[in-house]
Amino acid sequence: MNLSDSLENLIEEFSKLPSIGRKTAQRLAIHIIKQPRESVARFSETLLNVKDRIKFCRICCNITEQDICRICNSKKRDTSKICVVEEPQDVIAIERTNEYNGLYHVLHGKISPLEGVGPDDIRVKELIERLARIEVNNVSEVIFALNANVEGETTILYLTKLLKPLGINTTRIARGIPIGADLELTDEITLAKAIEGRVNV
Amino acid sequence: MMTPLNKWSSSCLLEWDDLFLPVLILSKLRIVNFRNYPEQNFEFSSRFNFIYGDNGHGKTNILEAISFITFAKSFLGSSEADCLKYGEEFFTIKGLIGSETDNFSEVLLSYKPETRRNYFVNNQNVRNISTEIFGRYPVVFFSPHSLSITYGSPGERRRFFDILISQTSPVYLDDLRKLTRIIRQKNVLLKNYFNHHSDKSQTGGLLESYNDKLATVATSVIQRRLEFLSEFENFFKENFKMMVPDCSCGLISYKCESLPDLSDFSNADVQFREVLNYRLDEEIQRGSAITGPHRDDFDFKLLKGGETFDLKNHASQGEHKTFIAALKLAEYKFIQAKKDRNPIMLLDDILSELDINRVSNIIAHLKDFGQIFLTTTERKYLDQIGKFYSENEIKTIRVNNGEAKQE
Ligand SMILES: [Zn+2]
Repeated sequence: MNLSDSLENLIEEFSKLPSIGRKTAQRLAIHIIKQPRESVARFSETLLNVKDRIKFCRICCNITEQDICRICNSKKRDTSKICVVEEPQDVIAIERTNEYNGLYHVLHGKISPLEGVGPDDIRVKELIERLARIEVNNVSEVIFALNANVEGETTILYLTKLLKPLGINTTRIARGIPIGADLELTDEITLAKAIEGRVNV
Repeated sequence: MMTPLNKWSSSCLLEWDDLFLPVLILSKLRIVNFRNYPEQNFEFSSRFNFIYGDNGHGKTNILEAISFITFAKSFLGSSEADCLKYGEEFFTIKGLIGSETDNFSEVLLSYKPETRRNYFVNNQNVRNISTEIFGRYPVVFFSPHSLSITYGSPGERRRFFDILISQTSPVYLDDLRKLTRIIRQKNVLLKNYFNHHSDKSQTGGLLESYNDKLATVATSVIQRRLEFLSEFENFFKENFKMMVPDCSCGLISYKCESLPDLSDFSNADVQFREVLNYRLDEEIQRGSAITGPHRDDFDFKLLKGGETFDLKNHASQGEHKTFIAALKLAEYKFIQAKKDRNPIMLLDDILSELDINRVSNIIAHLKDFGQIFLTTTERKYLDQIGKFYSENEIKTIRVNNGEAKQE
């Protein structure tokens, strides 16, 4: 039943968001109605602000409010390493480890012909141009940290071939058992891959 | 219950374990709004369940419900939406599954069109059904449709073996899933290339990457199928002999068109990659990925009086039925050995295709192992079944118009 057109529109908008179903959209919309006007105003302003201010870094394509993002601008980063990821949230995840001090390149997706996504639809050209540029020619390693599914893996294979003429070492992150996880409780596929990728001790 | 030590048992460390194979049992089942059942509770025998009634009244639906909670899929290939009772908003299937040694688990599948399906084991939501459930409660299905394994297209045989191998190897299941995805992606690329939809050198480069990935996954699938077959063959031959005591023999071999040498896998992916290169033009012309294990076949042959015959073209109907019965028995014994537990056997209306003697033969060979469900239109077969079990081991269920009554 349609209680009000404006409410229905809001539900419609919420349900367009990723991983939000109709039910959740309804709950969110009702929540908005119950909020004081100023907090709703702040919320909508924040949304527009994000859209107006956020740009993509000229170098690594990560999201930023400047021309060049904080990581690319930093003097403390190791510029000989570039870690290639699918999405900005992957950068956040790797940064949280405090273990990686190199630079990033955000592809904003992965190649998937089925979904009509080719190399030109993600930031591949930017990566190649960046690596070919003289001033950053001290890059000695490109680390691929893409998701371990068919599309992620073939994107790595494709990019590796493109990078080959540049003579840069390419690596991919290892797959394995989560630290602290019980071997017994680890699913068989992860376990099998971990055995396959075993290392000498 | 004691079962003999099995030389094919996968565990070699805990020998005492082999002396006592846990019997997997579905002891209780409750279905609500499933197919033509509004609400129905069942209590099953741990040995033999005889379900009878006229066609179209809901016998098979009981087995289908069992397949949903054990196998996470309908053994008939129907979707959840197909199984929702007309005019209802949800269905649930709840079962109590376990073995004499394990604790019983309460397995629940609920389906609503909006939220799709949810699977719970002991009230815990199962997130990844394919890795957590598939193979956990092994089942063997045997229905008139099973005859398409010998009569039908290569796809039917691949499906049969793929499900069987997947139930015992999650890694194989993962490889298969990757293979399917790669082939679908590659088909799009081949079509784009042919139709000049896109930059040719770029599409060519992508095709190369997909072929590289395909080579790794495809050779792994082929190798696992061969490894499986070399083990399964023994089970099959043994069970074929039990079905036909005369000297004929059934043979299964793997027909692979993408690898010239199946005896050496040391650089199979390189060889496979060469075949892919060689066939690239043809694949582009056809706009379809025609090279790989998704096109392979399992060859069935009969050895009679020193000569081999192609089952598909030269065997009698009776020989087909013997072959399929032996395959199903071997499937049961293979899973039993690999998983160290007895699968649940679902015999759906097979008496309409196989005669009672063949079916009795199967039951005679399985009666000492696990739980069996059999559906039929004829109550008279109960007398035959009664020869193998004592009265209290058989549960008789009469199905009439979406209602089941225990006799
Ligand atoms: Zn940047």
